[in-house]
Amino acid sequence: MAEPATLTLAEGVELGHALVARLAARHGIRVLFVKGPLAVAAGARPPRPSSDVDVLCEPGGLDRLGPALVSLGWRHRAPDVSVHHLEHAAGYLFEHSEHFIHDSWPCDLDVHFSFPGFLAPPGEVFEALWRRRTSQSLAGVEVATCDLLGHAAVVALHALRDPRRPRSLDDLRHLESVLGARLDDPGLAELTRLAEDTGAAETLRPLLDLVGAPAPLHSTTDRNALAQWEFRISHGDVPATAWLLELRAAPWRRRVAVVRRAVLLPTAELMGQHVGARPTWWMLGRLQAQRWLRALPAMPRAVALVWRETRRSRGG
Amino acid sequence: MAADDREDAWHRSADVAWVGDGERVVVLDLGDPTAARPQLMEGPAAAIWRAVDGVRDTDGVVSAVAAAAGLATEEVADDVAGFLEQLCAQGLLERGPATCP
Repeated sequence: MAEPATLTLAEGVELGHALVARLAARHGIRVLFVKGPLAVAAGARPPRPSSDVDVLCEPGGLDRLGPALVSLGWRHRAPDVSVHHLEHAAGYLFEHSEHFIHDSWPCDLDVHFSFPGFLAPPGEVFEALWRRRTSQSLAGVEVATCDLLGHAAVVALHALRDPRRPRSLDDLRHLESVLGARLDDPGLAELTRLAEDTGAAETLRPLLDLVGAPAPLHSTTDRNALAQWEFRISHGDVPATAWLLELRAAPWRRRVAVVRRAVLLPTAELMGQHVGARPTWWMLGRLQAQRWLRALPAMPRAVALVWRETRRSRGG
Repeated sequence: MAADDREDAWHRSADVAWVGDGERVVVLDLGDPTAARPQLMEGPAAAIWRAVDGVRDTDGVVSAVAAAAGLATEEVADDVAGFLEQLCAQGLLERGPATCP
């Protein structure tokens, strides 16, 4: 009467949480589930379907959880992501996780090793969120997740990465309404303290102002990291800026390799961004050309932005 | 004896994750994550799974399933009891006081 199931997306997301929670526990890895249905359950996000499982690992946890997932048949969505090789431009990117997919599962597993906008070291961020963790039943299994304030910080930072997007505006309005109704003065002070503890006193400032939380007293934020966050928010939609930043800062002997990788993305990475497409010569050429067509018109603006940013970072 | 202390009550294994409502239930046995494969239960199987609540014994599950289907208990009793035993053998259900909430 029971047979192998073809999962719907909603089923996959819920069961995926349970699977990762159990696997992490088995390997002694502390994980916190963020975003998705648990943020909705906490009241920190408006209800909407999720397409992946988002989990934040304690530092070093991904090194063990990744292979454990691979042993279950999960694989990296892109085996080798070029931007992970950027040494100088890494701080400008929102690369913060590894994506796993499985032929029998409809959802991605998005395993975070940090979360953009929390500018404190990842270990401090994880501990600050872990201290406030709570437990929630999902698919009949108890999983560790953030409390309302932790979820609110994560949802807000995610929205603030692209604050002009309609979904971001919805999320921020939702947080304003929920936090305004649920938090008293001590609660608002706690939100500010969480922002301070995670190096997000400045990056979360729009949320703190929105809900009337007290202004942070201690902003230990790394000024350069904050400038990089602001650059990414303002100009992250301009193609090729990360590659140009890397090129500008890289020693001459590495520049040829940077240009080569920027212009011709490796096949595996290209196809990882287009799962299901057949890697024929025609398809590869078309996908590479699409990248060039996106980047070329933006090049003058990207060059100007990178020139200005380089001057700033050098104290000019 | 309190209802939830019943020695013969059925409950879901603490190692099982499951989702679903109505006619469709999907279960995932996490006892050994390396062997975990989602399994589908539809129709009567889903009804039986959902009737297991940690309190009902076999007769209780039979009554609940029969009532939900609008049938007499005698009509479903053998099938329900057999399926409960089958799920127990697979490690998806356990009988007796639950060890987890």
